[in-house]
Amino acid sequence: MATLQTRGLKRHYGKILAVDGIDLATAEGELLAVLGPSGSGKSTLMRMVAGLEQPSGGDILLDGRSVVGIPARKRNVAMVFQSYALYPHMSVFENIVFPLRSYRVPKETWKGKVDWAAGVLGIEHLLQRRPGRLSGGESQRVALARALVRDPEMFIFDEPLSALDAQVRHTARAELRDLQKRTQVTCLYVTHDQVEAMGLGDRVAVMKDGQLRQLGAPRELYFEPEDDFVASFIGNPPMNLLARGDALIGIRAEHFRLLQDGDEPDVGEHRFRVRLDQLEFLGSEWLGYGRVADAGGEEEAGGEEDAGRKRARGDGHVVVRFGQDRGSEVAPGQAYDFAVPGRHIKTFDRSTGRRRHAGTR
Amino acid sequence: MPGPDRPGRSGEEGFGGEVDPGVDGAVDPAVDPAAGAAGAIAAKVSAAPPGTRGRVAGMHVVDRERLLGWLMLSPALLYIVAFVGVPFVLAILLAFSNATIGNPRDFTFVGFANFARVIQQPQFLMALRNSGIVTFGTLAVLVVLATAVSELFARDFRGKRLVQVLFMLPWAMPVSLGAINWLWLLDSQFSPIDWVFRQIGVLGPGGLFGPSMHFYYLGRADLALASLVMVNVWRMLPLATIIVLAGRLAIPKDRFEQAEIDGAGFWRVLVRITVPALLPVLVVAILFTGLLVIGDMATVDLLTRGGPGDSTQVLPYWAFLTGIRGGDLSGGAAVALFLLPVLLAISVFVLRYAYRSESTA
Repeated sequence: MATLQTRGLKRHYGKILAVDGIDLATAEGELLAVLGPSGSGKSTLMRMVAGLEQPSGGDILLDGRSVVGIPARKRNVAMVFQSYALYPHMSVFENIVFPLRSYRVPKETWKGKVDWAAGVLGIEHLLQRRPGRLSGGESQRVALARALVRDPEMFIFDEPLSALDAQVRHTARAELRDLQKRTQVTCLYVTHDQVEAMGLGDRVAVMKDGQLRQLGAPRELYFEPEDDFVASFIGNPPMNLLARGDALIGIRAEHFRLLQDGDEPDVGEHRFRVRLDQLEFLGSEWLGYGRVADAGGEEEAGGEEDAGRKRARGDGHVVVRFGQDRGSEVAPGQAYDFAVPGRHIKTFDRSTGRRRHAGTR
Repeated sequence: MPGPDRPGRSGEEGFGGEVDPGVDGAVDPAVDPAAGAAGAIAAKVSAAPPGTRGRVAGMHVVDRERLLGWLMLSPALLYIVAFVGVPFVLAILLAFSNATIGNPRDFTFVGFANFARVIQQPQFLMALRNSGIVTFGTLAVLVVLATAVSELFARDFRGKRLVQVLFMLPWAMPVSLGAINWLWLLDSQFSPIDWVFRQIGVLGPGGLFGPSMHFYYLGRADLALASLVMVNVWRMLPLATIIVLAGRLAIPKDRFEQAEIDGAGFWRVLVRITVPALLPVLVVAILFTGLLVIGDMATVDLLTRGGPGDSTQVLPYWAFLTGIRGGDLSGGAAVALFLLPVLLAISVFVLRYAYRSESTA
C-alpha cells in the first residue's frame, strides 16, 4: 500500500491552466474522492497520477518517491476507466491475466491469482466469456478484477459507476467500498457526482477551475464549507446563500425550523420570513422553494456579476426542508416564519467567496 | 432508339444529376430515356404543385419510398449493368466460343476448349505464377506498411496534415505519370537508385553486388518482379492505409491507455491490442487492394510489358495480349476468366469473415 502526495501540481494545455497547483496527500489505505464539475481539472489530475499525462510543473510522490517522468506502465498504479476498457477480443480470463503477462509475473501463479481476484468480485462463472456478452455490472467487476489481480500500490477509479443503470449503482457503490476496505489499497476516486463522492470517500477533494477548493471529510464539507462554491456544490439541495451587505450567509435547507403562529425564535436563533412558491413532496421529506422576504442585502448596483451567477449568490431564493409531518401544514403562496440557529449560519466573503470564521465576522 | 431525349435533360438535373457524367456520351441512348422519365417525375416533385400526375393512391412519389428508392438507384444500376454486367456476360460467352477479332460474332459453343488451349501454352503457368508472386508480395509488404503508417497517423505530430496529403498523392496520380518516374528510377543506365548504391560502395567494382555498375532492375527476372511489387505497393499504400487507419482510429483510446497502465510496452500493445482489433479491416484492405493488384495490367504494361521474355508476364496482361493484340478473343476471355472462381470464393469468404468479426466485436 502506498500513499500519494502531489506538490504544486500543474498542467497547462497551451494557455489554459487545467490543473493549477494542487497540493494533496492521501493517508495509507484511504479512499480519496476527487469531486468537481466537468472542466474542473479532476480528470487531468487523475491522468497525471496514472502517468498518462506529464505535469507541466510540480511533483507527484508515490510512497515518497517522485514518479514524474516514469511512464504509466512502470508505476504499478491500477486504473479502472469509465468505459471499463475491457479488451473485447480476449476472454474475461485473458483480460484479467493481461497485467500479469505484461509485468512478467511467473506463469504458474496466474491461475491462482485470477481465481482469487475473480473470487473477490464473484465472477468465477464468467471467466470464459467474452466482454461483449457481459452486462454493465459484470463488466465493471471484470475491470475491477483486472485492476486488483496485479496487487497494485494504488487504485484510480474514473467515474466507475456512471456507466451503470441507476438500480445497480447503489449495490455497485456498496461493493466498491467493501472491496476497497477489504483490500486496503489506497484509492483515488474521481467523480462529478457529489452523492458518490460523499458516500464513498473517506475524504473528499473538491476541485474547481483547476484548483483545490477544499479537502476534508464529507461531514466537514457539508457542514463547514470553506467557500461558497463548496457550499453550493455539496449537498442536495445545495446550501442556501443569501446576501447580507458585503457578505453571503449560507444556511442548509434542513436548518430552517418552521415557527408556529406567535412563536418567537429561541435565544441565539435568527428569524427568516420566507414566501413559499412551490412545495415538493419527496417521500421522506418535503422541499419548499421560496424567497426570503427581507433579503436584506442591498441590490448590487451596476450588475458587476451576470444574472445567473447572481441568482446563485443570494438574491433571496431559498430551499427549505420540512419533515414528513410538517410539510402538510404549509401551502405555496403563503409566507412563514422560520428560525435558524446562529451556529448553522455560515458567513462567506461576498467578493472572494471565502469563508469568514467567527471572530472575523 | 431516337437521339438523346433532350427534354429529359432538365429533369435529370432536377433529379440531382445522378447519372455519372462519364457515362453520358457513351450510353446516352440507353440511359437517357429512363433517366429522363425519372427526371420528369422528379421535376414534377419539385416544380409542380401537388396535383394529379405523380400521385398514386393519394400518395406523392416522394412518399412512396419503394418507388422512389428504385428511381434513385436506377442510374447507378444502369451504369453497372452497362459497364460491368454486359462485359462480364460477354466475356463468359466469348470464353466458351470460337470468336476471334476477325470473326467476333462466331458464338459457336466449344465447351472448355479455350481453357484447355490456353493452359497448355508455356506462358500460362509463368503468368499464373507471376500473378501469385506479385499479388502476395505486394499484399505482404502492404499489410506491414499500412499498419505502420496508420500507427503513425494515429498519433499527433507537427506537420501531420501536410504529410498526410503528400502520402495520398500516389493515389491521386495517374499510373502513367507515376510510371515515368519509376522508369527513370529503375532505368538500366541512369537509375538514381544505382547511383546511391554506387556512392555507398555496394555496387560497382569491389562492391557487395559485384563489379557491375548497374542492377538492371527491369532486365532481370527476379529484380523485375520485385520492381513490380515495389510499384504496386507504392500505388496501393494510400488506399490500404486509409482503410486501416479508419479501423485504427475506431479503436477507443481508453483501450490503449488501459493497456499502458496494465504494463504493456509498445510491441505488446501492437501485437496483443492493436493488431487483433485491426484484423477485420486488415482483411478488407487485403481484399480490396488484392483484387486491384491481381486484376491490374497497367503497371506491367508500363514497366516491363511482361519481359524480359515472359518472366514478368501476369494473367491480366497476357489476357490482353492474347485477346486484343493477338486477335484471339475467346482465348483472351478464357485467360481473363481463369481466376474468377477462385477470386469469387476468396471474396465471399473474406467478406463473411469481416462481417462476422464486425458483429461480434
